[in-house]
Amino acid sequence: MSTGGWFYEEPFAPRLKPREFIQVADEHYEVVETRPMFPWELKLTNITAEVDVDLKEKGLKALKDELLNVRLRIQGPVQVLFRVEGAGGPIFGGWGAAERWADERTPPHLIEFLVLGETKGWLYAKVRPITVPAWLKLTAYGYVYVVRKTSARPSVYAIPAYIASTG
Amino acid sequence: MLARGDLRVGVKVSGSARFTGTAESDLFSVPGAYVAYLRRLQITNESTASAIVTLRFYNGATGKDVLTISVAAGATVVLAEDELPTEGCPTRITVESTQQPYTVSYSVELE
Repeated sequence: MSTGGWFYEEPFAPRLKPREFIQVADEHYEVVETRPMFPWELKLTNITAEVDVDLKEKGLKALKDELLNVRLRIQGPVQVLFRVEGAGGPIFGGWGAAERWADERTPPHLIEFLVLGETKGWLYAKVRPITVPAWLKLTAYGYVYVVRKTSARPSVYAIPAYIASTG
Repeated sequence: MLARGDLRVGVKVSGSARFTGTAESDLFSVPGAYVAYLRRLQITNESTASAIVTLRFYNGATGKDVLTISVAAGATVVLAEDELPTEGCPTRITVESTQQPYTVSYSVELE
């Protein structure tokens, strides 16, 4: 399945403009508005053992009818496994399914995700210290697309990676 | 490793402090969600004996010695770039010296 050149590219421009369409979990959505996301930051200190962090609980979440398009930046002597949760489709998981780890060397354009509302594509991170104690600073930045579900099937629509294509 | 247009430039902060004791003292407290990267450090030993100055990075409540340097009596040492620790400090930076008084000036970049 092609992702239409959406990922693995620089620099970071909005992926969707108003009146464009996207398919998530077998539903089609029309983009109503595109705006920058207010950056989100998380700092964890004194990490002495592997720790699981639900990024939604830490505030990295979209509102209803919003699609969040984030790039993540890792700082600190840790390895981080990102897992896409609440997806459940055939391409669910992305890095999580492949059990790939990211760290400070990983460029943000390789850690890019979409989160739809509070139920689709929310992120979960497993943090493993490289030195003990370790610390982590995670920064997320990107765009918010206000979306509206459409009943008609649009002729052209995007199918992103790392979020469910079917429900 | 960051792309053009990504967040990559930190907030520059500088300061200077004179210490009249040898015990461990706070040099810089890292605010909020920032992480501090030390970019420049200048140490002046104002005593009449050679001093061993230790720089410590705190991660929560745990401190780690990241730099130990000898400064001759009355001398000034300037460290920059490759001579400084490359790891960031998430909580606070402290200094300790075997002699006093001494003055430490620093520049940090908050990311």
